[in-house]
Amino acid sequence: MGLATVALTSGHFPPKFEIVDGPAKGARQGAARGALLGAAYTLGGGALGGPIGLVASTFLLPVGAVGGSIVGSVTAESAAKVEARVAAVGRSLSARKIQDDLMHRVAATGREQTSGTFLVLAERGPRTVDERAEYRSLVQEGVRTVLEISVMELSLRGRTAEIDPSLSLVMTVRTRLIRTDDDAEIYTHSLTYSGGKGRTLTEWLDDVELLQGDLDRASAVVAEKIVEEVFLLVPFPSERKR
Amino acid sequence: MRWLVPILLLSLVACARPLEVAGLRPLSPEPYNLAPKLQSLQPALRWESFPRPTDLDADRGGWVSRVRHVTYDLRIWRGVGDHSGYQDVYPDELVYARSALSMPEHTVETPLESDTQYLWSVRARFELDGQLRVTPWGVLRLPRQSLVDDSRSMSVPPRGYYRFVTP
Repeated sequence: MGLATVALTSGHFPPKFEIVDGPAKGARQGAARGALLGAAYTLGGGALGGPIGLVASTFLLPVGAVGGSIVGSVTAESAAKVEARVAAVGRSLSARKIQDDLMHRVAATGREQTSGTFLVLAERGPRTVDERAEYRSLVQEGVRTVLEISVMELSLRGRTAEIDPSLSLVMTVRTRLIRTDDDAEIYTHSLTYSGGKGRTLTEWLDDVELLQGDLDRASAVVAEKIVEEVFLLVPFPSERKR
Repeated sequence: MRWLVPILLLSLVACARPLEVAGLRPLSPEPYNLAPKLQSLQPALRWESFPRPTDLDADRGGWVSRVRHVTYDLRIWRGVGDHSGYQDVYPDELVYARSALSMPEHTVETPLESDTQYLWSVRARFELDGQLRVTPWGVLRLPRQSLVDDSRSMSVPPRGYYRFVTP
């Protein structure tokens, strides 16, 4: 799109927060995951020992599964304890700060990388996930386009097959570009950031600043991608036709 | 054990064939399945210039012919293994960046760390009808998908940036 003045708004609602494939909850889930891991390690060890080892490991599979099951049931924390930890992480996040930080980061990146004027409208934006905020009144202030940026979801994501898995931050962001003349949505897109250093839930909880650091990093990566996608990017003609 | 020979040969052939990419193709080092081990901590990187003949062919009389003042942006990240279980490499820390390079080549000006896997990428930066524009960052076309990949949402940062390993 061409660049004049673009107003930026953010979501005024808390992003959904969840732990996906986090620590096993309770002895039963821990036992199940432990059994799976025990079996996998037995089979993996056998495969390393060549064809004979592979055959032997197949017979040892139930032994590995039972061993893993015992380890899993002992290692896994109670369901209530895991839930309490998840709630604690959720409480440590300020919804308003997360939404505003990203909006300001997009404004700063836009000013740095384009010749456009980026105007932050901190009080505008949707109050709920489903609300379609109206921006028509901004026409009188000379604003023709609004870029609405909402953090929809934050999660710490691990792998199902581990008892106390390493979790990485995932952030999903929705961007909408709206023409203020008629509140028409002229572009909408969803971006998912995933990455950073994986840590166990205990590690995340022990140092809340780690989470803030990863959120800052996620905001920087997402903001740059939003500015690139909305204002700068031209796809290669030869690759668009593939 | 003879049956292993053709399998090993096929694997070697697969590793030895350059990978497909989306974006400006690296010319040195070329993109292979295994990250190429370089000879220098200050590697000389080269890539295709823009616009490419295929772009001109695909867009006869279109916007490509109006492109002016083409330069290139280069970035290098330290790579770390992605915990999601695939052989993905994640761009952990941006360690080197140059913007508006006039030629499609660059020799890294500060030494990188030894025996380290790096990811790198390039894009073209140009003027189109008086506006600054960029092409997408170049990436390998990897068949694997990350655990969080969702067709309804674009994943960032990409795991498919070009790779090399320092000596």
